[in-house]
Amino acid sequence: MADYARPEMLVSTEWVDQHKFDPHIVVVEVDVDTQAYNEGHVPGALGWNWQTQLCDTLRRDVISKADLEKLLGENGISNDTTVILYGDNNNWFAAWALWQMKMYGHEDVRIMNGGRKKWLAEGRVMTKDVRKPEATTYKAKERDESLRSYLMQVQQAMGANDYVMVDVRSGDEFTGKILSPPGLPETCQRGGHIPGAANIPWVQACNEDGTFKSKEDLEALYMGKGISPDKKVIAYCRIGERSSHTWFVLKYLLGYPTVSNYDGSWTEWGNLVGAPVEKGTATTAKKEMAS
Amino acid sequence: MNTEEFKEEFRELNGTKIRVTSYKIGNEFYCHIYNADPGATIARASGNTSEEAVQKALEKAMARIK
Repeated sequence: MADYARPEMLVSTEWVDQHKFDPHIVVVEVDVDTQAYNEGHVPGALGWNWQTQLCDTLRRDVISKADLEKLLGENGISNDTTVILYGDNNNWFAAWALWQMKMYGHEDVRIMNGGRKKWLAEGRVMTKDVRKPEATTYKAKERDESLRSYLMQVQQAMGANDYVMVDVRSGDEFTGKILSPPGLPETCQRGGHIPGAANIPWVQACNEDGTFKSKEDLEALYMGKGISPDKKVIAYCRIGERSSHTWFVLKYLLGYPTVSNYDGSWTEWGNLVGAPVEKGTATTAKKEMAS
Repeated sequence: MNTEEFKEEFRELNGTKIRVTSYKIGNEFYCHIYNADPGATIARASGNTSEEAVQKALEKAMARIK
């Protein structure tokens, strides 16, 4: 992990095993499958539900500042706490939680490399005991909107030479063959992708054991498709969680200076009346725009 | 409780490639089924044996992938 631009953003399963009960550390599990935590989790870890606790449940939006302060405070997290996030599916929603915590200015939040899968595969201890943390008062900063892209910014970026977009969905979603992944209900009216975007499925950033690929491999992966650090990068997927995983990779493992997550993603763009849509493959970002 | 018998394999269900993960925590066996690409959870189940958990999860997944 030492070669990454910000190696301190990752901790190993072994490190978590050794430090999980340290007083200034809070470990939190955030899963795609919101019931997984109840099967068993890292001893001492708290569990967050992305569907109810990491979003605005009334309107479509990220968690509000007040709700984040309440969540973190109730979970015994102070502004100087080291928060370790992990989850299933190679840390999809752990990255989603980290993205939101970074938007609200939490200084020390990291990801357990390999997530829940690696912890399980290594045969480490799990518990069903739910820790009751002592509440604290958490004071979030004003939201850093530079880490997020809204529809209007994406529309402007589509024709701008200093921007590139990376669509991290599966190949079949990108080409428009399917509207949403098999078995998932949220869908859209049109299939395809934002014109000019490169397709680099999020999972290509991971090894088989769920850990992130080496810096060298990640650079080759993204640079090879035109996603380079001299550009402003916008990542998107279907609802913004897979793209927060790629956002994490580009921003912290590769150190790209300007990366944002378009969490409106395809469920916004693909339902938008009059939005331009491209189908089929595009091997490199802006290939069509440049010609 | 230690985690034991962690297994992961790819299968095909109704033409969809799925990833089947199973493991034992304590005395209970669990199975999670994900679509192989992108990897979202489709079904989960538990049972007294690995086979029972997998079978129950596969039945749920079958109903969801038509």
